[in-house]
Amino acid sequence: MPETRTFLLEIGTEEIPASYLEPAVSWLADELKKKLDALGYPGKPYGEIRKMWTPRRLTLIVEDIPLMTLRKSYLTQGPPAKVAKDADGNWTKAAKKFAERHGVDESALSIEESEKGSYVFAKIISKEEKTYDFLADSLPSIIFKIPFPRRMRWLKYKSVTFARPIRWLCCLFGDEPVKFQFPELTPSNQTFGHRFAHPEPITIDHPDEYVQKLKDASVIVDPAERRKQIVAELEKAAKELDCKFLRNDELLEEVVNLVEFPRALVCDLGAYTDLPLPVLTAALAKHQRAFVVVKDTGWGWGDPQLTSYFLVVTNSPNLDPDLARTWFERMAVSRLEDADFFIKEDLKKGLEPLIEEESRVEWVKGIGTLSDKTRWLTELGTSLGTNIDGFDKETYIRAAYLAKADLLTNLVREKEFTSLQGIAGAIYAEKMGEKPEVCNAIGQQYTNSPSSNESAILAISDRLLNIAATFIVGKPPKGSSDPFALRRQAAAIMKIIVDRELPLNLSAALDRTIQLIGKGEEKRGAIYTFLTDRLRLFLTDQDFAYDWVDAVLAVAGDEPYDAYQRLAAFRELDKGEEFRLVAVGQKRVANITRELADTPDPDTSLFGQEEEEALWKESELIRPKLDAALDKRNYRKALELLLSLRPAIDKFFDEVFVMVEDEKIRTNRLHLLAAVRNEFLKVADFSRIVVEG
Amino acid sequence: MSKPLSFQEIILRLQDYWIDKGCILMQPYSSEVGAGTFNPASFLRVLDERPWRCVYVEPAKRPRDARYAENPLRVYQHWQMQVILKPAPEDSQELYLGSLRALGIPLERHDLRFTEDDWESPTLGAWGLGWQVELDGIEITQFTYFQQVGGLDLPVIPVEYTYGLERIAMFLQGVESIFDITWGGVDGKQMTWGDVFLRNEKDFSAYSFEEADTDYLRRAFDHYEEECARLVKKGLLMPAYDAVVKCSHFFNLLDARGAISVTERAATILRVRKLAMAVAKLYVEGPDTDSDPEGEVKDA
Repeated sequence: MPETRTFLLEIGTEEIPASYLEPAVSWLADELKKKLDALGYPGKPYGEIRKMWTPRRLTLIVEDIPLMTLRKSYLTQGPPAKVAKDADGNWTKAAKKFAERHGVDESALSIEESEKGSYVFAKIISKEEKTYDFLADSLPSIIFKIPFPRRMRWLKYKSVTFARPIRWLCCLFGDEPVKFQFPELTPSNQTFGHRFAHPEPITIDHPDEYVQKLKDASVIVDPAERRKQIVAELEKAAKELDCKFLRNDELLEEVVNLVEFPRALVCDLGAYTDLPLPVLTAALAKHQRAFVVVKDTGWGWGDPQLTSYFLVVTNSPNLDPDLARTWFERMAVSRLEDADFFIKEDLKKGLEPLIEEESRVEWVKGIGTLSDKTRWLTELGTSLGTNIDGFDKETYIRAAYLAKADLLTNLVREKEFTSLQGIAGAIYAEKMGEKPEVCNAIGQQYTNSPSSNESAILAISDRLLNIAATFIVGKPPKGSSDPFALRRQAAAIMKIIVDRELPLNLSAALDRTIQLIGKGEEKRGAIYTFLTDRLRLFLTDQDFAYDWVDAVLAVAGDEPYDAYQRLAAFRELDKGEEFRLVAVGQKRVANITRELADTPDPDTSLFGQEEEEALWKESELIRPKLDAALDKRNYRKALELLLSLRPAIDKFFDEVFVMVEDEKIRTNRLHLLAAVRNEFLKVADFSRIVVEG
Repeated sequence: MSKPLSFQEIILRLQDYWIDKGCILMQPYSSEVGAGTFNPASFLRVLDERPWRCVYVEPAKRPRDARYAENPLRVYQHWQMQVILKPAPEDSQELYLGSLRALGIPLERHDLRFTEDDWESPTLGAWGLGWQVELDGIEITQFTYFQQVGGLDLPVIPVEYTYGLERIAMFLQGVESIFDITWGGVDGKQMTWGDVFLRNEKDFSAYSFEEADTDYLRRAFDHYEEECARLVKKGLLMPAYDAVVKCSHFFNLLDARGAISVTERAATILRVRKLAMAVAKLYVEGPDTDSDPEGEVKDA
């Protein structure tokens, strides 16, 4: 084993946005791994990689990197062979000069064939390089390549950009500080602790002491440890109040990335707790990044009981809680007063008058107003709902009519409360005395798991209109860019259809959508392909093998829930091997019957062998049962019936030669096979199932 | 405990602090602006490569924020302290924190954060990255490294600190309403913010929401838009910029009056931005010498 050392890189910065941190450090780790992998060691030339960060530092510790890179030998091309050797086969002056230039003697030269002909080549063995040098050379470019959603300049150089200004670089290879070129900065073995608790520089003598020395300086650099500490702090604070805090994972992740030294602070709102819980939570989370405290009701179910307390995670080791609390509380109360004010204003008007205003608000430029959308939602959902058992048309129409009005309320129009769209509508609708079913549908229109069919149809119709309109105005998702989250919306459509077992037909739904919008017929194909692609992805995400999904979608791509049921039947029957055997036969049949113009039933009078007769009889026999099973969508039964044909099929192929000279008999045999295949195609195109080996 | 700083003392302390750090003391602009950034001491001075450091207070007039003096935290006209340091120094954050210490705030006993904020002024064609500075959850300062102003990439990156003076005063004085802030005194008699500006708030609230003549404002907007374009052609930088500032204020008033629809809103902002960009270009490149000003009689 070569001698190794631990490497530390800390990029010290001004506060980087919370959401940027993890992706940046992960990218940095991957990039460094790639570089180290290229050093040519067998196996990986590094041990454990620790990714750490706080808002003010991006840190990587890589253990056990070899001290020296490996020697590498490579060939370098010189002049053409005819110039490099004379008539006697000796190296010419030109060849010797070439060798000299590369610091090798004649023995390193050879003639090799390249794409362009024969040339002289010199074998060059690189010197061992110090890993230190290698790192020092690579680091500056790696650091500037770290991707961020938004970058900024802070120096005069146009090419120097980062998420926020870089203020120090602490870099060590073992106990040796790594010095490298960097604009306006000299990397060193110094870092800085907490901004207020430990402002003076800290010298790191070895990467191993980095984490502890920072901890001594009030910085917990490992995000996992910070998360643990935050949860512990919150639990402790809540417990002292005989309460618990409302878990909010998204908020927790954000808070982990906002502090270096977490400290929970208990605050009290006083009276402001009669706001609806979603509004209260949104206001406190968005602005104070605070956690709501609820009564600890033991194992109780149902709605949590609010208290007037909330918890803020501060970043201050020497915090004076009594001093700091005041303004957190006042600002929270003021936010909630704002929310309360908006709600009261909104309730003065109610949702109805806002529906008139919808005609003055553009929905999608070139497509229509919000009022158009509301009308289309009503119509689209009404037609989608007709085939659905227990779909209450009146409930739906009322919910669709009110659905978009909350976008014009004071509450939802405020930046911090936009996330309450739908929820706000439901709250208002309830206060205005709408039926619970109507409120429910309004409140669930943006979710992925609506609890009623009316909610489901509203959620699906809304997304279908969004997708169609966005395609029609020429803004479909491209590559990694999907600014309107259409893929997520399409996935939600599939999920809802399957979860709620809705017999919806994509083609028909899309036709109706385009018909309502009144334009975009030419984009229908593209939208349909987009939807079926999303259906395919949704199904493979349900752990159905992609080839089975292909086989089913080839014959039943229009109805997501139907496709799902077919796949579920395959899975339930769990006869993969047998199906694969069927697939082998079906592939053959598919191949040899491809040229057939039409597939009439075979002429029984032309049957010459009993296996023909037998196969036809069997298939005739199961046909009515198969059709009956399909009518009831009993795909399991259908599959069992199809499998029962296998012995007859196998016998046929064993005993009957299809491609005989006699054209009549040949065609008749093909017609027989095609007829059997048509039975299989009623469930899936088995020829698409991948058969290994 | 010593007596908390009055509003005027806060202004003086901050001014002294920044003058000591090499800033020139400027004064508010003479026309209505929504933010200190509109003052030419910021908007124009950041556009070129010459070093610049300035500090000034600016009354920010925002018709939509008017609340008839009924909201303790929102007012038609609040006061900003604007600081520009160009180029942004290496210790931009520390210098800023020093100014809070100069106000006597024991930062280590409070919770001070630099919270992500991507600042943008669509009307000025300006954006920058930085933070909202939050002290115990109150936003007290907008801290921005300008990247683009007037649609132009800046040759030298400046830092802008915009202090919300009322927020800081409330924090220091422990009062819950802007109107209760101690401003200063007249002949030893204490004057609050409300004593000075209550009437201003009430009247301008009524004006912003009820009385502003929207037909006139539309005409005025159109007029100053044309005027700006004309003056840019003539190379008259300062009056042209003045027209941009006026258009922006007319837009704010129309917006508060609810006279601008959602779609019109974006289009109107774009109209102001075009003007701001033309003026920025004029400042950087000088007058367009190729154009032949209309009606100019050339010597034979």
